[in-house]
Amino acid sequence: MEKTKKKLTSKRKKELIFVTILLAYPVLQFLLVWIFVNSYSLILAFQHIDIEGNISFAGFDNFMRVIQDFLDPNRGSIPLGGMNIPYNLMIFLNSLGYTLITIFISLPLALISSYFLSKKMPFANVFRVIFFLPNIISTVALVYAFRMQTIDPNAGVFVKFFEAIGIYHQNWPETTTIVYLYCIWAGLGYNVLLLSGAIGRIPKELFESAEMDGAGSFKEFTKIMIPMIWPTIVTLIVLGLTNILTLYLQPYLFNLNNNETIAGTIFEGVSGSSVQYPYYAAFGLLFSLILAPIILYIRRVISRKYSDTDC
Amino acid sequence: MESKRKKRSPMMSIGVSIAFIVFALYSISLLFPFIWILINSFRNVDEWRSITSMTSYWSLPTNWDFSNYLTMLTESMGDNGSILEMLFYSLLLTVLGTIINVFFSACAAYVVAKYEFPGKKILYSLAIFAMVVPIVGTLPAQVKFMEFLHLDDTVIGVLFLYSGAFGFNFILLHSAFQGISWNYAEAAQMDGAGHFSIFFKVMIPMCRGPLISCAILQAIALWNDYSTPFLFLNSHKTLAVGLQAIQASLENSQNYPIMFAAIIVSILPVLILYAVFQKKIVENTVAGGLKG
Repeated sequence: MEKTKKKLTSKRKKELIFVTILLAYPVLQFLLVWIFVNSYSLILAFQHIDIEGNISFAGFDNFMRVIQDFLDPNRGSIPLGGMNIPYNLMIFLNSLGYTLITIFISLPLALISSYFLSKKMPFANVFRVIFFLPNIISTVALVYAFRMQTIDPNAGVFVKFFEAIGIYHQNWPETTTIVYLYCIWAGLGYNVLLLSGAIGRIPKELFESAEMDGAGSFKEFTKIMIPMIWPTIVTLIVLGLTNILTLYLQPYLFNLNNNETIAGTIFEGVSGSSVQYPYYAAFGLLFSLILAPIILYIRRVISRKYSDTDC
Repeated sequence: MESKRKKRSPMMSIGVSIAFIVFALYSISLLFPFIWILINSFRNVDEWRSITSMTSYWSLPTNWDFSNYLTMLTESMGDNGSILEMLFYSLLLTVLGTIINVFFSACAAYVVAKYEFPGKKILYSLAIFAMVVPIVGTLPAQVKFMEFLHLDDTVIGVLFLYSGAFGFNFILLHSAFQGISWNYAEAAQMDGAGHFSIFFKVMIPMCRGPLISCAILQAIALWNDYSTPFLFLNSHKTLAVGLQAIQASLENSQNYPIMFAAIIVSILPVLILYAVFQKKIVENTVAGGLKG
């Protein structure tokens, strides 16, 4: 490709016109919806809107309010074992839970499941087809079906079971625990599918030669499988990490007391009066500024492990 | 085959058997709630109301009543409109949204994959950046922005938000277009074809497979989408939004079977798509997940 400063040939001109026409709408839409809205959100976080809709500069007021709601239980709190948890701290804990659940429960479960699924199991393909269902059925319908069986005393088989183990879905944190259980149930299939896809791409010879060397199943699992599918595991860990910032729909649809997440609080916030918009803009910005770098940092660190095996 | 079976240690066999049982139970837990909902959607509403014991909820309906589906489709659900109306809006947004999204994604992906122009690299990295970095809290700004453009509470507004060209589909189609040799374009050029006819008559047909996959996944995602129509199409409800809205009132009036029928209607279209394109859907979700 030569970079001459000669006049554009008519052929090149035609090419650029074509490029411009095809990109015009996509770029405009991206500028408006992504760049403009994000910049505007930044400004909104420093604004104050009164009931008449007058806008004034607020400085860091909105951020201070978010932080106060995070630290000061007198501004609204929720009891937990004799303590009062400030409201925004509760929201943070709820959100953090989804990250911990995905990484430390869902992911190991999925890893073990997909390991066995790769071991010539009868009906393995039938299982794969069924496991995928939660991905295509709408969250609204899935949550409804799950609620029906676990919470609704009219038809739930598991209502009695939950009551027996002390989950009454009336008070926090039980209300959030139910949604955690739902997320493990509904998320398992997708994780298994991604992981067993990755396991399927591992060369068979690797397993065979390991078996010849007398490696047991556990060694095979930790020394071959995990390193070989590490990039996929990293993807799932990162998805789990971003849950803390992005997950909102499931708890919102469950509609139980005090199970809001960070994103859910903002989602519900915009259905209300626009007076509160700057507060929620600051709320989102603050959490993104603190958590997004941490997520990106962890992503970098864990990607480096086993980096010699690139798939 | 036989030699492999011999190698499996007894520990492994036990492991596989336990896993098999767990998988079977999990599969049942996924299927059963919906089968139960399907069966009870045929239960007469009066019969449902007269049920008192738990075991009767789990019995088959005494007479299979198909009228729930008719009632549900035609009767207005409070101020939410009828389910038929919701079906219409779901269908409208899904079909138009899918076409618009895949079309613009294809345009952007093709140009970035096949042409040289200033800013090309920046555009590609921006698209990746926008997907990888989680940003929340821009919803208030988005709502204000849509109000400012007078696009809130309009079908056009929702379609505008759906038309983002730099998402997963962009990445997927970008690599698909990259895989197609430029020789085909040159051959067409010899025959006097311009850039547009190369794109529409040569490249798009050659990229049909990936385009169809993107469209199917996009359609499922839009059909199931809750938040966009909820926030930006207040006065008309799609099925996903409507089901959530009518739930409480139907349950309070013990009209469960109607609700069940609505749930079945809402998941039937995606189940049909899944039955037909199962392999494509699974493959592309896996690919999408890996790139994310």
